[in-house]
Amino acid sequence: MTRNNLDDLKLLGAANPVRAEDAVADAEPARTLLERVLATPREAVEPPRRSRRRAGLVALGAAVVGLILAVVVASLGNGSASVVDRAYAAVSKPTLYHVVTRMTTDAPAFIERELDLPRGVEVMESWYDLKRPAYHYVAYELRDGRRIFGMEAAGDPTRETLRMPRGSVPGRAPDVLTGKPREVERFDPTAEFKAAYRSDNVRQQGIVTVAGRRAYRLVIEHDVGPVSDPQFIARSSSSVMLFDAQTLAPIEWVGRVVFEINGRRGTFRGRLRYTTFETLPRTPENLAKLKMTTTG
Amino acid sequence: MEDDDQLRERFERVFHEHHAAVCAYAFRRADRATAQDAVSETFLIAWRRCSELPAEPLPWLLSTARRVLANQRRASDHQRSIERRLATDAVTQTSDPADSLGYASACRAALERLGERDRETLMLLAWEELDRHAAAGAIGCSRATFAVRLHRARHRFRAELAAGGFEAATLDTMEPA
Repeated sequence: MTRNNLDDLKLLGAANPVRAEDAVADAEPARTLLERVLATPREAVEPPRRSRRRAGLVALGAAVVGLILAVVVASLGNGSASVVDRAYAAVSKPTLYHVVTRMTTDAPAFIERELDLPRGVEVMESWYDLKRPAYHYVAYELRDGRRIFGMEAAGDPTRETLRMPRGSVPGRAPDVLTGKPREVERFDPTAEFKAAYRSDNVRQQGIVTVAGRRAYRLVIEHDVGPVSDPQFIARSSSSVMLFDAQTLAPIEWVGRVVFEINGRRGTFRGRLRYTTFETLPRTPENLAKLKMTTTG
Repeated sequence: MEDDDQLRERFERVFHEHHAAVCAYAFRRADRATAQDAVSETFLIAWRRCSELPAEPLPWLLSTARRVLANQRRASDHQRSIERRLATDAVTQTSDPADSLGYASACRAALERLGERDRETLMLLAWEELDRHAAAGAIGCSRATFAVRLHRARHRFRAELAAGGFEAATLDTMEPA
């Protein structure tokens, strides 16, 4: 863990405006409160319906995030390895990739709130070099015909500069959650596909035609079961990626989760379309795409 | 099944162990009157549901306090009370490195500009000093979800620091406390 990684929470902790002892001194005396609480009959219990529902909604959000991250997947089917292998090879070349995706989601309002899902179409353009490795991406949202800047980032597995609407943050932290180096291609679903492939967890399921293109349908699926509360169950979830049958370039990713919440079912759907997926020669001009376009 | 005396004894132990933490949690998020009400309501709920309290009750208590404060927000403008608390009602810790370098107000201002979810995620770790497992429990989400939220919250927090004129690069020059 780098110092920069550590220090933002340390500094924030040091900016804590209320020490526990000050809060206690400012509060109702503990003895008075304790006596008052103990004098209240325990029988006056009200079922915590609202809190249970809330916990379930949070759990629901957790499962959807899990789906998006595509961590848990099913077994590899016999006889489909060659297509899966070829798809893996197509997205794993040690060269420069240029990818543009458009993501739409369809979910009940409470899931949208839990996951901060975009209200419009989220567009992401990324360049990543699997040889060096390095990356640069720009994300924005299309809403009511307007293009709303989301964020821009560039870096390598161990350092990153991030630009958001309100400022720029030069940094050098690896993944702040794990302390591990970042995957430079993590901004499109091929990263999850590759992780699933490496654990033998992708299977081919048919060939479809999309806008006149024949495409292999590769499935990642699993049963989630209870999420964190017996009342909130993800009945099933699946991710499907379509790969062009000729080039093996990814065309589309679709994720879906069916939940049962207190006996009521609901479905989250996400669809991401690749409008561009291409490799570029590693020329100086193309490699310059890995740099931030704007600073400050 | 515990009898009444056992429940009472258990509750008193929980109260004495965690009263200060619950007070701190509430007073960091609300004005004095609102915070006092929230502390009282939280322990009333804990007393009523004493038989259901988990072995490690602090995340449960903080989660309850969070919901109580959220309910109060519907009756009053809780958001403004947080902002007032963050902006003007500071009981500062003069020995901390943030104050000595003038960063405390920048950190609090950046925190204030975040959304409630980001703010809560960061405050549970930085101010309530929970570990990630306990913080996830206090929010009521899985550890994986908490990790995702923390990742986003830290990005946004750093961006807000930068937007407020706080150079994140300066962080690299500081040794951890």
